Amino acid sequence: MSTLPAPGPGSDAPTSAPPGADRQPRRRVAPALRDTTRGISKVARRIPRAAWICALIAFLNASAWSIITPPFQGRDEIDHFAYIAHLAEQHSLPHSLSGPPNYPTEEKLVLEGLNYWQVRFTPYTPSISSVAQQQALTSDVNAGDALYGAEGGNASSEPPLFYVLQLVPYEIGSGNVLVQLQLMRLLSALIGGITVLLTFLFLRELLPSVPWAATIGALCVALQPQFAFVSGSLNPSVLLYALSAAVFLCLARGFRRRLSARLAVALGATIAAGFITYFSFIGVAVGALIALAILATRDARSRGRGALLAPALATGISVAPVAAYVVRNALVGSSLSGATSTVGGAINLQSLFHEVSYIWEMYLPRLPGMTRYFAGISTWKDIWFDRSVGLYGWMDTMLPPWVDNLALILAVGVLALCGREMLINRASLRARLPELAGYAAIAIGLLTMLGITSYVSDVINHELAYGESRYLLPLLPLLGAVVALAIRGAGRRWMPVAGAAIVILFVGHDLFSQLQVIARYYG
Amino acid sequence: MQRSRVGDISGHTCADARRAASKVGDAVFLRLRLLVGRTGTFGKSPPQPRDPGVPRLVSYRLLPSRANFAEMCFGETRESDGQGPTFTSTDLSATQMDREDQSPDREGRAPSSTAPQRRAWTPAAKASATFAIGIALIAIAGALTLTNAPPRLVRIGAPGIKAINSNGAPSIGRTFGDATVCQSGEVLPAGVSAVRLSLWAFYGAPVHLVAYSGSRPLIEGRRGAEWTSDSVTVPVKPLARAVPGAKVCLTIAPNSEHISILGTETSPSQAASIVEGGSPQLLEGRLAIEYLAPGRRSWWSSVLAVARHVGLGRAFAGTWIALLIAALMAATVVLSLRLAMRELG
Repeated sequence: MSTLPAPGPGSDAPTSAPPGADRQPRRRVAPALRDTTRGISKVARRIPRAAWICALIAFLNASAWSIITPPFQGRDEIDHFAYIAHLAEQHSLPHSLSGPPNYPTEEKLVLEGLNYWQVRFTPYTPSISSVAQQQALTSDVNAGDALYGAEGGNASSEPPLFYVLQLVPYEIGSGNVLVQLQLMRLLSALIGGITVLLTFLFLRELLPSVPWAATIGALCVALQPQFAFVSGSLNPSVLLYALSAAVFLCLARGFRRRLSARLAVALGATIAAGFITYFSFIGVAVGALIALAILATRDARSRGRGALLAPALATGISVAPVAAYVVRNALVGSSLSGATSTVGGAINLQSLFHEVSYIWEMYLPRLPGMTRYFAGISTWKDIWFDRSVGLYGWMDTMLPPWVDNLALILAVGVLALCGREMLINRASLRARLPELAGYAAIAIGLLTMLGITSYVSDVINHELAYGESRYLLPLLPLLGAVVALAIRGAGRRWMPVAGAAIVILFVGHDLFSQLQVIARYYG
Repeated sequence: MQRSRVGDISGHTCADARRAASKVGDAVFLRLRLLVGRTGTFGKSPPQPRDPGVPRLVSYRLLPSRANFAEMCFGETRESDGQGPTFTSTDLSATQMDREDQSPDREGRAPSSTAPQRRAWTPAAKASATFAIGIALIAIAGALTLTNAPPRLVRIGAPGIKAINSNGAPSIGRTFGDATVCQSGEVLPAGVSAVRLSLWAFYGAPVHLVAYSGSRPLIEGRRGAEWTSDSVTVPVKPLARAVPGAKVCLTIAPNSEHISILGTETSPSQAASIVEGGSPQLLEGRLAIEYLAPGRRSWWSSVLAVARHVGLGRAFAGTWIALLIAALMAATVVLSLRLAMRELG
């Protein structure tokens, strides 16, 4: 990493400044900018090269996925694009839809040129395949129709942070919808790289005595095809993953060292950013606040009440956007919880048992006495595992069932090795129970939030259940930890073999998933 | 504190540590090593008879415990205590170790004739071998996959009915529970190996398909609940000859999900029927059914066509896009393997 040259003595002296009326402002701005750059450079230099390589691998992998997946065939991409177009063209947030989605004219034209409506959901209908279709698409793209005036798509109720970031590629690629979309996908891939970087740092905090654990764990995360697919598409989930990884990192540093004021501000700001990125982050945030409470209790016991200041600071910063949202809703006279009111309204004591049953069955086998919500489906296998192995495109591209079954055997092997390692090191694990409880709280928070949302949609509104593996990807840092522990669990003799085998499995999984998607769209 | 991989050796050799280790793993790797025709680390030349002028590795001060030798051999990182020479495990190349094996031991005994069988692999060699095997398996699996042919469509729906697949097909009915849908007047083509049914579901349900000629079952197939989107393909045993006038029945059970039945609207006389909770009812039309047979052109023969196809539907169309994808995939794989090799080795 290159660094800025250190300022020499007297470099800020008036004689070194250029003459002119703006001398004073420049003198104030330049050192501040230099300090900031130097600070960033210093932090970047402290990050190991392996972390940067892992991030680069994630970016390259996601970039490959971004080109493989045909335009707008990523999950909900049409809606996210419409949101950004609304934000860019009308300089305002789209309103929640009361009727069917209403897309900008230019976007609709391009969708027709791409045969979008015929291709999506239909695994055996390929993308456009003739030169004539390409020419028609080119004329659609260059038609210069409006990207403004539409109400927006189904994503209109989502918070804006991700969409605001995507305004940059939108403006750079202005004039060509397909270029805009590809640039937005590349920004998502970059965010995916950052997620892997944060995962690396989290694993280094988690397993500091095993130097390779962070590299191999982060590498496997970078090669995870479901993550790479989402990172290569236009979807706010990508930022959700990055922020979740940052939350894991901050908590790990807090548990392993102590929650300093600077770390508390970082954690609070990360959670706050999550709130304005994606509603699903609420689950992660609740878990993170529980973890923060555990951390505060531990620190208060050892260092007295003064240690509560940092957790209080983190909590205060993190809930600030929620407070602002509630105040804003109160001012405009809508429901205080806004778009989340439907979810909140579903939680009541009368239906609590049904909700708990539903959430339980969403992930685990039904217990006696529970209502049967998922007849004929083994949810943990058919929904979560199989779809984690492969569910690409517009939810229409899966790997063959035998691959899922083979993957299950391999996954059980990895989990067994991980379990072995945890069993061997149970004494040290016991000492770190509060930390593990914190991570478990995040996982449970996310799964519960997902379960409640699905209950409302599926049981109350008779719409779709929420069963996509991408919802679990905020827990990617834990996947990296499982991989690292599994390799250690193989024992010293077999460690290199297990490590290499797991890496090659992820490589193979990624490659064959890409080939499957190529076969589906271009075969 | 100086951080290094400790090779503090004071009385035991790496070979001692290997002898102390179990023989099973070594035997497996020895066989692999023999299989690839090498006696040293991958990429290194076989060890030469020891030159008496070359100082032995045991001239270093040694650690007392065998466990520490295992650490040395398998690259465990420790903090150096600053006493005695330290070096990294990568400094201890397999060639040196092999040389050591062929030299007399501390008591002056000559190495036994079975010495090569006791050789342990370095972590780098183990990781290399695993990567080599893994890459070979991926290549073989990829090549075999490409020799397969994608299934080809041999018939859509029944004769006399407007051909339609689920693209734009209207919903002719739906179910939220167990159901059996039957449709008469289907022609089962010869050699059909799978039947694609146009059902839309977010969570699929188990599907059991039987095609009858009269009351005699002709083909049968099952599919689990792992499917989603707007079609489910059920594999069946191929028929030797085409059979007209067949009745196709599919049972969706157990089910508690919303499943839409897609097809084309017809007169009631031609419509499919559904049995849901005991009472048969007519659907609003015919279910879209497609019959698939094994393809004739392998993926290998379609590679160029696929590459051209990949280049379409873009802002800047061209076959170069396929090359760009291949380059990105290759860069990902190479970087990953190099990084993993460096860490694990």
